[in-house]
Amino acid sequence: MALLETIGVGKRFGGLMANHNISSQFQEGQITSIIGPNGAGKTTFFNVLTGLYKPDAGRILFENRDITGWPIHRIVGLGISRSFQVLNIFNEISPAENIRLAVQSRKKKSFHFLKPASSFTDLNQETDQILERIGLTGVKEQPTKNLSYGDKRVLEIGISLASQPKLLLMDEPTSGLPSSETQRIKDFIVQISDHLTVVVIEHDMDVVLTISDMILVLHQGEVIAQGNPEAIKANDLVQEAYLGGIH
Amino acid sequence: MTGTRILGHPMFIILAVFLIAPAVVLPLGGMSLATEVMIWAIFAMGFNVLLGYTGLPSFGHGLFFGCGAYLVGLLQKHVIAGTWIPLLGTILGCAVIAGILALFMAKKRGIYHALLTIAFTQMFYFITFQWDSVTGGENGLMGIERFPLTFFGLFQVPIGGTLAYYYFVYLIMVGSLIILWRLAHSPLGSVLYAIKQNELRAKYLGYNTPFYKWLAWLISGSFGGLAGALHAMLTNGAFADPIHWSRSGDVVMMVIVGGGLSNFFGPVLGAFIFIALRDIFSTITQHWYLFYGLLIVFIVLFMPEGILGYLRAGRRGAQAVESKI
Repeated sequence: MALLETIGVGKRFGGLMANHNISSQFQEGQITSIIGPNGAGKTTFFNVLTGLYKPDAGRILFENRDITGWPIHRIVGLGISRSFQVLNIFNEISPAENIRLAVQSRKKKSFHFLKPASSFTDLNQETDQILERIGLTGVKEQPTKNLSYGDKRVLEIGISLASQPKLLLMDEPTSGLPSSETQRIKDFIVQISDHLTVVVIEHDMDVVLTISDMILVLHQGEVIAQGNPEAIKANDLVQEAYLGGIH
Repeated sequence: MTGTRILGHPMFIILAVFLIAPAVVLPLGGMSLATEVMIWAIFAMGFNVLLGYTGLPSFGHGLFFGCGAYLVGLLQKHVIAGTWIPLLGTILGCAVIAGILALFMAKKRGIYHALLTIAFTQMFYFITFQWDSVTGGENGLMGIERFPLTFFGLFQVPIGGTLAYYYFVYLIMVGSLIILWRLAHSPLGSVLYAIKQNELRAKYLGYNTPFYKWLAWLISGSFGGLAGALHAMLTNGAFADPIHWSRSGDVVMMVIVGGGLSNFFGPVLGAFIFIALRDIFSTITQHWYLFYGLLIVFIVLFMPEGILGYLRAGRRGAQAVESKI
């Protein structure tokens, strides 16, 4: 069953067609990669899916429910979470507090205004589990801004995971990382995809071709191909637009 | 928490200082000034829920201070000649005003948000200034009193005297500080601080951020109204002057000077400095704002996190040096 489906989604900025007539299906439990040259409209597509931009055309269905035009927090509440290409974390607080904010949101504990946030044991336990899972237990009480870039990248994903999403959208999770760290993220994506559906925007073709069940290729705002890695590798249009010099 | 940690806690120091201050201040005849410091401290602490916790600049917060003053006076005149009910009614009334105005502001950010706050406060200024029959116009609303506190009709405590009123305000300040301290460290407080740091990410954690900003306005406006009411009871009158946008900068400066952007207790220090300087300089020159302005320039340039922020950073630096040794 398709967990997420888009039907003819379009988004225009002035004269620029950032997304045009995108129809696609994202199957439950799969890893789908979205690839395409810079400016192909990949991040815009994420922004439209998650409610940051309202689409000008088309419909978005999540679990067969029409969520087109919903505000971000309601879409997140349904179980869609995302991580960002440019780090988007809370720098002034600790990693543990970053994670706890996400857990607290899902558990609807945010209207307590007289008890200390640190006194909710259920929140703390879950926060610690997530920190353990993403391997940041050792630095959990440090100021986030002092963390290494790699750790911040992991935290970026950890925050998104703490929402316990059914669908996780990751925008270039390996962006700016050395290859040693890229492997860490790659393994991590494969590991978490056991129990959730992942859509990832990625430039590193090595990562894309090894982890993906499905690949969606965008070019100038339009879908020019979708299929499994073998089909995409063999596709002439994709060769021309994107994979050009690779083989 | 160990005994020394409680004794060294800024909350304890503030409460202790204000508790024993009358021993020094009373002989000097400065009781109403000392009371004013606490009232402005309540105002600035409440204001800081917006500016310091949530990162929302409001340059029209005098609106709530002024409305609080008028409301308590009007409630005393037309509803009940007492203290508890007019005070509670004022807090409620200012919460309602804040709740309505914030509907317009909660979705705005940055400069648009700030401009709206100025526009609203000017609107209220002209209403209070022109509406003679209700507000007394430019003469103000006079005859606001400090009626004795009654406890379920069982016994009465008079608060008409300056010392009695000082301790009445003191108890309210203690209550306000404790409530705001707990708020700042609660889950709700953590969401407000998250919005200040990165509102987009807060939305992507599932928080309906306009609603939380609206809540911050509600809390902040209520404390503003409470402070205005206490001030009206201190001076026995309510005036349009504090509502004027040019006066709303006072509370912003208190927060910034004291260090409220990075320290919970900054606004209390800021309120003390403001009142002390106003009192000292205004006896020397009527242009005392000039000197206050110079102080603000100095602080913004050399201590951008305010006095308490600067001291804390200094202490952190010293610790870092010690740990290296």
